[in-house]
Amino acid sequence: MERFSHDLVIVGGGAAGLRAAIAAAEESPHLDIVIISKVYPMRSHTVSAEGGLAAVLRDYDTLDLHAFDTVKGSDFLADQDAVELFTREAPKEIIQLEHWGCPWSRDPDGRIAVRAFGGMSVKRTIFAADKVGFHLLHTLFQHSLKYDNIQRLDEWFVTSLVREGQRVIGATALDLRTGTMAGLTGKAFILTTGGAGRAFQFTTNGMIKTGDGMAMAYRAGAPLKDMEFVQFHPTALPGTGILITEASRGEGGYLRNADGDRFLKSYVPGKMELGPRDLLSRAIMTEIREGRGIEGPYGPHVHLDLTHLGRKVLSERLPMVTELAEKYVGINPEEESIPVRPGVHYMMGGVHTDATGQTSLAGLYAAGETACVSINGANRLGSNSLTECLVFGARAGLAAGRYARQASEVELPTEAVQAEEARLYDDLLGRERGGRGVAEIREELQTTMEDHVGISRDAASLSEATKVLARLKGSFEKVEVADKDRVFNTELTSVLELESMLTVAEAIVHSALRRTETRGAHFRTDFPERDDENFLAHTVVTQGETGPEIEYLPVTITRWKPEARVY
Amino acid sequence: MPSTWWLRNPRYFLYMLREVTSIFVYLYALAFVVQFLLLADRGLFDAFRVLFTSSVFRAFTGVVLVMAVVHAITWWSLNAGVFRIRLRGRTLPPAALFAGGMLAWIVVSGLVYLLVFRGF
Amino acid sequence: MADEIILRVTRYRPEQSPLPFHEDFAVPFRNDMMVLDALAYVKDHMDGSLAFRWSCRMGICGSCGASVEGTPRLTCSTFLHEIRKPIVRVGPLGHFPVIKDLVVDMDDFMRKLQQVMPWIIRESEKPLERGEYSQLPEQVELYRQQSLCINCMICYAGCPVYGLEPEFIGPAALALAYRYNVDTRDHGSKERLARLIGRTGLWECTYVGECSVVCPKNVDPAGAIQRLKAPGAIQAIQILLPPILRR
Repeated sequence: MERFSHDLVIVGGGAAGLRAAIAAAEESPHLDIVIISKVYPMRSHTVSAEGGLAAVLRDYDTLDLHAFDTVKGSDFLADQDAVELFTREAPKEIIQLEHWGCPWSRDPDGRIAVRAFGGMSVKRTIFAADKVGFHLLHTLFQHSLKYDNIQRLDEWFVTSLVREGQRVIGATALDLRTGTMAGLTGKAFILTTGGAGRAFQFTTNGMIKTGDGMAMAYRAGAPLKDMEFVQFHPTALPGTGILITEASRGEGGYLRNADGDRFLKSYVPGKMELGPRDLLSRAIMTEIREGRGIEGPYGPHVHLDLTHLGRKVLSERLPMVTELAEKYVGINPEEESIPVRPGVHYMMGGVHTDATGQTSLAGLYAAGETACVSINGANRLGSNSLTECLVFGARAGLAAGRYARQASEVELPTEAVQAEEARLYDDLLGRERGGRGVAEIREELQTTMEDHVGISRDAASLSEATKVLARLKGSFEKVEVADKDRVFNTELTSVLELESMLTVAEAIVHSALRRTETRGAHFRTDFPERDDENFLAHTVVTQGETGPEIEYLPVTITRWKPEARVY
Repeated sequence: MPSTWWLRNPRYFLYMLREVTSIFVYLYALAFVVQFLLLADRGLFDAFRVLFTSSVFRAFTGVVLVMAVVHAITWWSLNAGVFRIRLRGRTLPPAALFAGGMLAWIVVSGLVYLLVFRGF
Repeated sequence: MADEIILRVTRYRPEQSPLPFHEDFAVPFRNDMMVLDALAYVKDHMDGSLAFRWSCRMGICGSCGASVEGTPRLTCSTFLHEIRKPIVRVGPLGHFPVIKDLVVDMDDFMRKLQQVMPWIIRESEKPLERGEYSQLPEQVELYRQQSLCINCMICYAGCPVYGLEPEFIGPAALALAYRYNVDTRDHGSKERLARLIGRTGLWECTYVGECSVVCPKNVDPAGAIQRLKAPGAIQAIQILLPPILRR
């Protein structure tokens, strides 16, 4: 058994994790920081973000307007103090990334360019063509190589957090290359492991997005918040779920139904294609349900029409969309419309934190999609999430770094690692003959979430989902692991990932069942109205003895009173 | 890596071929230098003239010409994408550079021919 | 085409056998199936022990490089039908030590990335409050192509020089050095070049050009390396000059 000790342990190497590491390293060159991740940093799912990130850089724009757009987009569930802080710190982060070399697209005069995005009143989305996440991630990763006090444990899977009282003092981790377990002592931990889109069947998310950080925190006793709010991105490619960026609509693309109509005029006439994602996804599903979808090999879809944008816009501003359409659908977007349908994209919910990233446990922080501060409420606006990774990644890095510097020395007990060794080696790898395979259980989980916890839900579908999940948890107890090797056992990691997804799915379903209203992305067909009387509140779910325990926390409202959300 | 690695794919093979063409150019240059050195002694030069006008040497010269042409074409097709030459605010496309390079090569060859055989 | 295809995978399981071996898997074929989909099918339905890396399945995360029919490619962006063979051979990327099956050791590559100092080096920092460094679109264009590298290491698998001389810094890392050297915001080109003009750097490249052919993102590392050679040569000569003659 190996043992490591660091001041600050960051779990996850995407935008939030790297930004946290750099912030902590800059503030204190003597702080011993490690980024531990199940993949190399460049593989993190930040890389797949396409459209852009929002911040107020222009004179015509104001911080208040960005904050109001975000609050309205959130269906008034965002904490307004956090949103105001977010919009205030966002511009600085964009400039900081520019100084670190990020190749933002530019205006002819050399300034950072901005584009339109859904739910934003004015053009305020900064971009680097349509490979924004890619450039952001690689800039952060490359810049992080500069710091001697940032170390990395690449391809290590953190399997659990270890507590001493109400403080997290360590973690257990599996070195994928050798298959050995290690104990990781840390004075402070930050979880930046992204969301859990892979718990659903049809998702824009990469296969690594299995909610490990959320599940880990939840099992360690830190509550999750607002988990019922799952964002469906309106435009994903049928079949693969590959994301076609909202920037394609920001640049002027149209959504059309089978009749060729821009059907959004009946749903969000004021915003049309630039309406918020929850309303657009629901509109598309309504069109399909009412028979105005287009049939395809992967079910009905609608069309994203970019043919009028012209070659210059497509090649300079949307090269990736062009590439993806050509490669994966075999069409030239200059001449043909792209088939699209809504797919699971983002978790508004996550580990409950304050605006410094601090969770309910001492020494444990979270940032990015893993966390729920909340600035996204019931529906995140497109291009706010990458900015969130930067703003709250940096804040968590600073806060956790400061905590680590003043915190007392801790020592991870050997028994904690031994217990985890026993679970993985003896229980999982050691079992002679298991039950169902990991892929089979995972597929049933994904179809269940898709069918019963999708864009529209009701009491019956959600109750059904709780039953299936309970059964799947039973199956999981006896899951078969055929591969007994230690070295790079990806079947074992699939099992650990499935465990995370089951945990997160359970939190989602129970939170959704209890919220008997419709708000943002949480659309209850049996309760189609927003109910501010009872549910202008955050759902907080804790792992109890017999299952998820749910409480509600008030929403912080500073300046914008809830009003009807009309676009 | 096995010493036959360059047989593994046609592009490696073409690369090796390009490298080999330079050996021929080198050999020709060597023969050329020898001719110059021999010029110091008229008798010796005449004795070797038979060799340099032989059909074998002519054939060798022909092969060298082919190799030089292959080398020039592949060199320009590779390097046309490397140079970034800006003209009136636009970067020249590689195809234009390739054509320009080949044209320059033909013009220079023509000038040398005129200089040597016509003496202006 | 047939409704089934044979995936012939070069496998290596150090705990089972000291030598690599081949294993055939008969996978149901769909016309829109990528090599990666076939691998995932094997893992989910036939043999869970098959190890390979993948995540984004849209050609941007760079995880899933493998040798397909002898050519290094992203398996998520290679259609099975492109190959037009009833048996498709898949193996680990060449020139790298294999950890297991299609999973190769990336340590050397990661070291080389860091070696070229891929970050902006400034003589003085402009305070954030004073905004961005101005950069015209054509100045972005100078380095844009080389900034598109996804670190998939396919160029290393294609580069025979790296195969023969593992110390060679290699295509992707050198392209990255170029990317920062021509960025108008950067002042570190001398420092960076100093690391490239040694025995394992620029001069090792004999311009086979395969890296640029196999690159799935059209980064053109070969071109970038050639463009570094002129300033590299000037700097190498300057080092030999007495200090007074150096610029």
